[in-house]
Amino acid sequence: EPHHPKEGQQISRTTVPICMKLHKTSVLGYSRSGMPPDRQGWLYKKSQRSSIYQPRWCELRGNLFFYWERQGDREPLGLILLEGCTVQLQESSTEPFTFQISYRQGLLAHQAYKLAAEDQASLESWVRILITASFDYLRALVTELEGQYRGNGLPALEDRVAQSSPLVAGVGWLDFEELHQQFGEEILMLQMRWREARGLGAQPVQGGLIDLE
Amino acid sequence: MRYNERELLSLARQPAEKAAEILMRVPKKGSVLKKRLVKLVVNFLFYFRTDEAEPLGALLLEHCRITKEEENVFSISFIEDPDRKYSFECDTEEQCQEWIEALRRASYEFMRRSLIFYRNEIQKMTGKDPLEQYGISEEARFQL
Repeated sequence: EPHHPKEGQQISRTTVPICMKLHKTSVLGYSRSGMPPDRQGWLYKKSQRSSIYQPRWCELRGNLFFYWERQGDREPLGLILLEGCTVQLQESSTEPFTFQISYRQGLLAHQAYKLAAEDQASLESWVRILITASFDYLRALVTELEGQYRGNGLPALEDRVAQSSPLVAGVGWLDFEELHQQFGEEILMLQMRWREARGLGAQPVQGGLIDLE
Repeated sequence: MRYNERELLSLARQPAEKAAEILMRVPKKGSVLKKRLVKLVVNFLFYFRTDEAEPLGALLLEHCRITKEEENVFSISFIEDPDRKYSFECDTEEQCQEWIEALRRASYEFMRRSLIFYRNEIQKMTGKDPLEQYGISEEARFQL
């Protein structure tokens, strides 16, 4: 069973003491992000210590699965990293609607989280999204779509921005990553298309069309 | 907040998108530049003492700002805590730019935005939703 040490505590089961510092501010910030999570809801999580299923408020953001004791609590109780894991339905009459998150290899072999949903529909939708929650999966999808996009004869995303679009001309040269950073989210893309569609000239983008904050 | 360090350690052992020995300074009082093996794996940046197998630390690259500082130098800071900067001094300006580019694309959120962009463009071009064949076209997380 996965062992949840308190921060700084060493795990006795490994030969090398582990005291890696996870930069928690960034993780906690991501868990509190204003955007809605990719999925949220109540699940039961089997406790490592007592083997009892305890209700937990769960939120999936990207490849990170956070769980709280109560919805609305500030700090999550815990975090599960969803890379390199398998998610499987468990067949059990005593523990209905359960599934398991387990890891294939090395350090984490034989470790698993056991979770249970309220009903079949919830079970299936959670399992479906958790299976495709990894960064690796998303990256593979993007690569695939990027290939299709280029295959249709259009320049790649970055090249498009490199050509003069009214937005870029207006704010001076900024590469696409910087634009993402400064304005964030899908809003930027919406703004770009809105402006291009209307043939708007160079305009500063701060103070956008929609007040987002 | 509990987490299983071994999940992160396991990730740190995966093949890296990018790895190099870079001088690094953490945002702690009195901290100095130290040579670290810096390794980018999915949306995490791990850093190791150059002679050790297990990382010293891990940064989640979400809601972060990658800033070009002076020559050869870039920094990582987090929106929640913008004044505390992790500083990286590269060997060359070229290496610095490569890392900046790689790190800016390294977040799940960046990947998601790219997916949404391509999805919408392909749909406009072809009239078909490219995600339908994967059975994920209804998911809110990939909608514009």
